[in-house]
Amino acid sequence: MLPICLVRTCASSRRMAGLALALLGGLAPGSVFAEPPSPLVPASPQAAVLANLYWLIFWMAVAVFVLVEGLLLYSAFRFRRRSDGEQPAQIHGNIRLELAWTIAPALIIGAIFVLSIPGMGVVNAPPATAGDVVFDGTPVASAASNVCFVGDISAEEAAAFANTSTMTIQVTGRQWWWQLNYPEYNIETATDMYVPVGAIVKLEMTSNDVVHSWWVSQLNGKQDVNPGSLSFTWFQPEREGIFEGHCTELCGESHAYMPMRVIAVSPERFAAWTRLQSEGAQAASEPAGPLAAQGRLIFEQKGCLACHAIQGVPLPAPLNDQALTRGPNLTNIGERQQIAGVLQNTPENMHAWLANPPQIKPGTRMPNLGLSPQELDALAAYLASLK
Amino acid sequence: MATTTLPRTGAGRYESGIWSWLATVDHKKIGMMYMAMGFFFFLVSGIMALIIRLELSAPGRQFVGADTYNQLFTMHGTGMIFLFVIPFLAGLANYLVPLQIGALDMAFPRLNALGLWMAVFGGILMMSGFAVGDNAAAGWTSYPPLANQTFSPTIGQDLWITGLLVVGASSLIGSVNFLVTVANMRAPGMTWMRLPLLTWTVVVAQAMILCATPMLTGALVMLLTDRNFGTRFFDAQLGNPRLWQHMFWFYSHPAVYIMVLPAMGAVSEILPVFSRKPLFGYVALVLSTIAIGVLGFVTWVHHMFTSGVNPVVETFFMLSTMVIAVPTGVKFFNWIATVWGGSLNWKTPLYYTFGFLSTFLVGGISGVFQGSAPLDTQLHDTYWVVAHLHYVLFGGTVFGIFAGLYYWWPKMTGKFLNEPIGKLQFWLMFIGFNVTFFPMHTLGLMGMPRRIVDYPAGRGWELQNLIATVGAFMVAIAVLVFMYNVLYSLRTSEEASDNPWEGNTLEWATSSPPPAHNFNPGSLPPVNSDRPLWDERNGVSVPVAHQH
Repeated sequence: MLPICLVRTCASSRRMAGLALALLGGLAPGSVFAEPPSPLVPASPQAAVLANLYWLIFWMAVAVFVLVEGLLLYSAFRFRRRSDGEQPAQIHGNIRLELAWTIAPALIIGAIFVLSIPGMGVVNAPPATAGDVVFDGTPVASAASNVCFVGDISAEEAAAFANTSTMTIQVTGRQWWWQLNYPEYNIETATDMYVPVGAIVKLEMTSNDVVHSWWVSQLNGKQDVNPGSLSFTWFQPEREGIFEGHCTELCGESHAYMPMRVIAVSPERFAAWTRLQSEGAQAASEPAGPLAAQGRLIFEQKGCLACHAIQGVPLPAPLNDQALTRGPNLTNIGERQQIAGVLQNTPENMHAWLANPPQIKPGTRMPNLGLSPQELDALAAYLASLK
Repeated sequence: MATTTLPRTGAGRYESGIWSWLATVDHKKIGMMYMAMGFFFFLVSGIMALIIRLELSAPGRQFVGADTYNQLFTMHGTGMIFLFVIPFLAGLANYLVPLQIGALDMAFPRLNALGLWMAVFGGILMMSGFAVGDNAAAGWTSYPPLANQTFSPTIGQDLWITGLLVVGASSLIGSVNFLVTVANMRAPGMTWMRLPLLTWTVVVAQAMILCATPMLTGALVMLLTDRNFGTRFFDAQLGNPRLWQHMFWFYSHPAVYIMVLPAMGAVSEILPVFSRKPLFGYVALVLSTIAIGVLGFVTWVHHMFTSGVNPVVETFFMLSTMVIAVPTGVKFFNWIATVWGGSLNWKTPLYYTFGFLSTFLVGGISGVFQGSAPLDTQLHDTYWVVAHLHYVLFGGTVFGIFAGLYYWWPKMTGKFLNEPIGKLQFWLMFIGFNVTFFPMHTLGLMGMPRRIVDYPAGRGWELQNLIATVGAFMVAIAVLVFMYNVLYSLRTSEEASDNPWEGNTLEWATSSPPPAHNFNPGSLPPVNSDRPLWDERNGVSVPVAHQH
C-alpha cells in the first residue's frame, strides 16, 4: 500500500479529538450520552480511517491558514501608507513566483487526493457479499490493516476482525423513524440497533417515502437512504457502547426528531438480546397484571393494531400483514431504551407520548387518540410489560 | 458634481420623479434598482436567519414550529442566493461594466429593464407564500420526493418553483446582454486583455449563468409538472429522484462561482488602487478566472458523495473538486503579491477587502476537507457545511459586496460613505460573522446535522449554538449601522470628486455620478493598458512592458 506514515495512529488522533472537543465544545461532564456523536471519536476501524484522514488534512490546512493569514496580517501592517507621496515600485508580475504558487497548491491538493483514496474503500466497500465491491475478494479488515495509518489495530486484532462473522440488517427509512429488520434472526424492531462487537455489520437500506440519510458518525460516514433503490453501508464496532446518530437528509417536518442509535454489545449479550425478542412474544400474549391486561384491551380497541404489530397479538379479522407497514413493530417495546427515538423510555415519557404524539413529533402519522389519564396509565403499563 | 441635461431616448421624457426610475432603460439606474431589490431581500432573508438563530439558541422548540422552521431556512437560503446575491451582483455589474469598458449603455437597454422587472416580480412571487401562510419547506435544494405533491402538498412549493423560473429567465436575459455588451461595445484600445478584472469576472460568471441556468429551468419545469400534471420524472418507482439532484447541482455548483467570481473581481479592482500598484499577474488572474469558470462545471457530484454514486465516478469528482482549489490559490497569492511592497491606503473599502481575503480563505480551506469524498461522508449535511458555505458566501461574497459598495459608492452617488461609521460596521460585521459561523465547524464535528429545528440537550452543542446566535445579532447590528451610514452620508457627507481613490479604470474618468450617457465627448482617455487612468496620471502613453 501507500507509504503514508507521516501522521500516526488514531490513538493520538483520539486524544486530539478529546482535547479539541473539550476545548471547543464545552462538553458537559456526566452527560446522559455515553459519548459525543463525533466522527473524531471513532468506535470502528472504518471511522478511525476517516478520523485520521481528517487530522491529516487538518494539519495541512493549519499550515496553509497560518501562512496565508500571516502574510495578510504582515502586509496589512508593514505596507500601510506612511506618507501621501509614496510611489511604490510598479511590479506587474513574476513568472517564477507565479509558477511556484501554482505548483505548490497543486502538490498539496494532489497529496490530499492520494491520501483520500484508501478512505474510498472504507466508505464504499461493504464486506464480501455477492454483487458488492470488495478488495479483490479479501476480507476488508485485513486489507485495511496494510494501510499503516488505519491506526491502533494490531495485526492480531486485524486477524480477529477478518475472522468475525458478517451480519446484515435491513434498514427502512420512514417519516420519521427507522425500521430495523434482522433477516438472519427474524427480528423486526425500531429505535435500538443491537449489534455484536467485532462483527462486520452490513446495512441494506431503502426508504419507504423520501430521501433519508443514515449517519452514525463513530462507526462510518453517512449514506443516503433512497426510495426505490437499495444503498449500503457497513461498520465493525470495536468496543461496546451506545453510538448516537441522526438522519442527515432533510426529510420533512420532524427531520429533527429522526435519530438512530447503534448499541454495540458483547456477542453473549447480543445472543441474549435475540433470544429476548422471541420471549417477548410470550409476555405479549399473557399480560402481567390487571392494569397491563386492561392496557392490552385498549391497544386492541383503539385501533393501535392498524399500524403497530406485536408478535403474539393476533390481528383482528379485517387486517392482514400488509396493513402493518406504517408504525414501528412494538414487540419488546418495554426493553427498548427510547420511545419514538426521541424520549427516554420511562413511564412518564410513555404517558406523555401516548397523550399527544404530534406535540412531540410534529407531523407524525400517530394521532392524538384522546385517551383518558386512566387509559394512558393502562396502555403505558401494558407497553412497559412487553419485555 | 456636473450632471448632464442631455435627453436620452426612451425614458428621456421622465427626467425626475418616480417614473424616471420605473420607466428607465439607463443601465446605471437599473443597476441601482437591482441592488436596492437585492438589499431588500437581504434584509428579509436576514430576518429569517435571525429567527433561525433564536430558535437554535437553546435545545427544545421555543419560538417557531417545526414546519415554520423548515420554511424559514428554505426561504432564507433561496432568498439570499437568488434574490440577494445574484441580483445584487447583477446590479453592481450593470452599473459598472458599461462604464468600465467605456460604453454608453448596455447593448440591449430595454431587455435590461425587462430583466430587472422580471427579477423583482419573480422575487415577489417566490416570497408570496408568506401571504398565504405556507412557503416551500423542502430546503433550497428541494429534493424530491420530499418536494413532490405527496410530501409537500401546499401551494408554497409551486410558488417557489414558478418564482425561481421567472428569476432564472431574468438571469438568462441579463447574461446575454452582458456578454454581447462586453464583446461589442468596448472603447477603442480596450482589448480583452486590458479589461478590468471586475468586467472579466462578470463575463465569466455570466457565461456560466448562460450555460448552467437552462439545466435548473429544465429541472424546475419537470418538478412543476411532476407536482401538477402527473409526470413521473423524479418518482421513486417510475422515475429517479437522484436525477433531480444531478440537474439541481449541475446548476447550483456553478452558481457558487457565479456568486463568488464578481466579488473576487471587486477585490481585484480595489487591491491595486489602494496599494498604488498594478495588479500582480493580470494574465494569471484572468486565466484562473476562466479556469474556475470551466472547472466549475465538472464538480457538481461532490454535493452527492453520500447519495450512492459509483465510487469511480466519485473519485473523478473528488479529483476535479481538488483541482479547482489550484486557480483559487493562484488568485490568493497574486492578491497578496499585489499589496506586497505597496502603499496601503487604509480606507473602508480596503478593510472589507482584507475581510474578504481572511474569511474566504477559511471557506476555501474547509472546502478541501469536503472535497475529499470519504471525509465528506462525515461532514456532508452537518453544521460544518453550514459554516463552510457561509464562509464562502458571506465571508467571501458579502464582504466583497461591501468592499465594492464602499469603493464605488462615491461614483454612484457623488458622496462618500462615512469612514468611521464604515469601519465600525466592518469590525461589528467581521467579528460578528466569525462568532456566528466559526463555532459551526466544531458543531458539525460534534455530530450536529443541519436543518434541524431542535436538538437534544447534553451533547455539548448548547454553548456554541448560543455563541452563534449572539454573533448573528452582531451582524444584524452591523447591517443597521450600514443603513444608518447610507442615510447619514447622503445627507451630510462631502461631495466626491470624479476619481477620489486614484482609480485606474474608465469608470473613474467620468463625473460622479456619471451623466446619463456615461461619458461626455472627449472625456474617454486613450486605452493602452489595463490601467488607462494610471497611464494618464503618470504621462505614460504606451503600455508598460510587463516585467515577466
